[in-house]
Amino acid sequence: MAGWTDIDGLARRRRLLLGASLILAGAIFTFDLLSPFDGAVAVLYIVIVLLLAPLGRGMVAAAGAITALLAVAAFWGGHITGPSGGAWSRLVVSLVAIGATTALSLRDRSIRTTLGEQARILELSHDTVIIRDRNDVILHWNEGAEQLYGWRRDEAVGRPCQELLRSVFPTEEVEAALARDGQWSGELIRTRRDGARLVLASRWLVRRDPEGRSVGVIESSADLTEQRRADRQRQASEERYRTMFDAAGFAAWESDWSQTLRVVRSAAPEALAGSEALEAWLANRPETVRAAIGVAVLRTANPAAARLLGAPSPAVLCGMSIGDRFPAESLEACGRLLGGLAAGRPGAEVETRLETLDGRLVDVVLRLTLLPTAQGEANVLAMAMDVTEQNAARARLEEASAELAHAARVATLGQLAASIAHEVNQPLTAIINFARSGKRWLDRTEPDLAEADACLDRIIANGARAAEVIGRVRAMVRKTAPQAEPLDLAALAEETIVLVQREARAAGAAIHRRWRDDAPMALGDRVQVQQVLLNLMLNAVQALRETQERRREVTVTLDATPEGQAELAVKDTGPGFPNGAEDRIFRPFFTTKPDGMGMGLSICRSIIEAQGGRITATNNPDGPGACVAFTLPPVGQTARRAAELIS
Amino acid sequence: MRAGGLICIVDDDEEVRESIGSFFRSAGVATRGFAAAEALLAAPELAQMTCLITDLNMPGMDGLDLSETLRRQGYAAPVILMTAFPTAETRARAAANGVALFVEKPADPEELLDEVEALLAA
Repeated sequence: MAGWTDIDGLARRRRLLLGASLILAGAIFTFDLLSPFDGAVAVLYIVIVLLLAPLGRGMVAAAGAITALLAVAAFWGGHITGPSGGAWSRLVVSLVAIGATTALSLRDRSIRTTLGEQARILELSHDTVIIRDRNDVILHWNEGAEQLYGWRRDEAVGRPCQELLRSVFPTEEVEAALARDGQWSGELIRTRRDGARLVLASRWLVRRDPEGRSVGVIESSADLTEQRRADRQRQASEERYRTMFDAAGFAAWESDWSQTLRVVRSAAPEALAGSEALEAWLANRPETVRAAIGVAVLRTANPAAARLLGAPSPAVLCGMSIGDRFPAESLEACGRLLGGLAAGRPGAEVETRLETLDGRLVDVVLRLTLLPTAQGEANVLAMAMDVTEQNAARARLEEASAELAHAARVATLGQLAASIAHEVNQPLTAIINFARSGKRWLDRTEPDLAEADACLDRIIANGARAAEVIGRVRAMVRKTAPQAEPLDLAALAEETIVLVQREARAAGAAIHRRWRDDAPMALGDRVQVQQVLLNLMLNAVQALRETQERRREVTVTLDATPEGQAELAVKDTGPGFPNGAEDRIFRPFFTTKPDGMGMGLSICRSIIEAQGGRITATNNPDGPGACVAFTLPPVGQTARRAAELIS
Repeated sequence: MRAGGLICIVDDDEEVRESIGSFFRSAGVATRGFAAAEALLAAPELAQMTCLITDLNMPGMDGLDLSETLRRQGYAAPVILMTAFPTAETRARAAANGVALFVEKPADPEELLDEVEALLAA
């Protein structure tokens, strides 16, 4: 009855019912009062109560009260003279009937209200609600079901549910659960009207009649399809990234640094929090770094990380403390990393050394990134590139290069010396022999002047030959005449230090340097000056080879002389020059080395003096060891070039 | 003649060879000079050689090889080896070879003469 649900219809119905009730009440009252009939006419008032029931509890209660009063009124009116026993009993019966009907009607109204609300709740629910009977025929189909399955209420009600929805579920399990517990919940698959497959989370409840017999099932289901799809996508994505992580060729691991950063932030002074200076502060505090890094825990690692750190598998690394992997020499670099992250930078990178599980040291470039996580947590992703091989290869290359250069120089000098020695020896030997010869010829009792003359001729010839050799040497030296340019001596010295770094390390010698800020730029031939410097540094390192009682140190300094010239000095803490030898040091062939050729300092002096500078060698006045220093003319002065190199 | 027989001088440097020769002649000693070890070995004068003075470093066969070859061929003449670069190795090898004297260049010719005489007198 569509007309009964709209407001106007409701109002009309109300008026209709009220009107009918009034008329009926009036009629019953009149009949009760005036009729001689002996029946309990007042019982008819229950019809009014029932009639007014749809108008609400209040109306029911009012109807009950009013009709009861009417019944009593009619009783009084009809039996004023004296009610008979029968009249009393008829009144009581009527009142009981009215009361019972009112009470029952009120209860009925409550139940109807509850049912009404429940039915509205079913409609409100987005979930599908389906009520089926014993034969799986659909009795109720809510709006949620209409929307999800695509069937309208009028299309669904009365049809067998299975035929409509083609549900797929574990039949035996469901039947067993329903029989045992009266309910079941789980997942099932249904087909939508358009053929699409749905995954649903479903709850079924057995409907029972008052005797407890099963009369069907009421179910509520929620659509999981979207959620399932999203889950699968997320899982696929996670697997993809996991595969990338595991297959990566570089070592990567994730660790928990929440505690670590807390230790750092609480140890550092307030003023430094969040600033760049934190790095430097930490770099100088190995104990703090050690304490902080000790509480960083490794959580996941990829196979490449296991290989790098010498673990048999990534699982072995999980749960380990990162701190153990940083040897003492790496604490400074570690401090800078920590400082960077603690100061709020999202990432930091440093080259350092790590110690593997089997005690080896590996050179790595370590890059840390702070991953975005929940408040208070610090997840750090670490990636490490093993550069040991590259460093070793570079070192070997540098060493080979230096050795080659060194060998080439020595070879050249050696060859030069050998060749000069030989070529000058021959004419000298001949000269001596011919001179002696000449004397003998003249010492005879009868001097043979012709022979003596011949000897002198040969002497002259050989003398010329010797001079010619010298001339050739000079010409060769002139070919490598110095080409002057302005030199940044500090930079040149730094470069040279790099070249001798390996030799120094091998000899256990430390190299210190001190550059004067305002040292003047010098004029000189870059290659030759560097050769001199290299020679001096190598000499210094070699001088330290036998030094045991004190630290092996080579100090290179750049200074300015009072006259404004740049002065480079190389000092060592070795045995120093032998006493009294200072003046002989620069002589050709002077050497204190058992296997030395003695060419070094002499050539150095030649080179320096050809550039217009001066070179001096002394023993250190304030300690052990020797010092060789040379000056070069500053830019702006013309360099004097020596014409003679060998005098 | 102070020393008997023929002194052979082998040195690839002509001036050195000639100067030694001139000195020995001025002392009255007969000498013959050769530019290379091979020349000496091929020479007919080899049989009359009573002493050999040879340079160590020469193109072709060097002084030590020459000495060894002569030993093998049965020549008993004492050998004096001259060189500008004496090394421990060469000294040892020379000694093992029965070289009578190892002399550093430039050598004093007077001493050389005395040594030759001493060797021949022995």
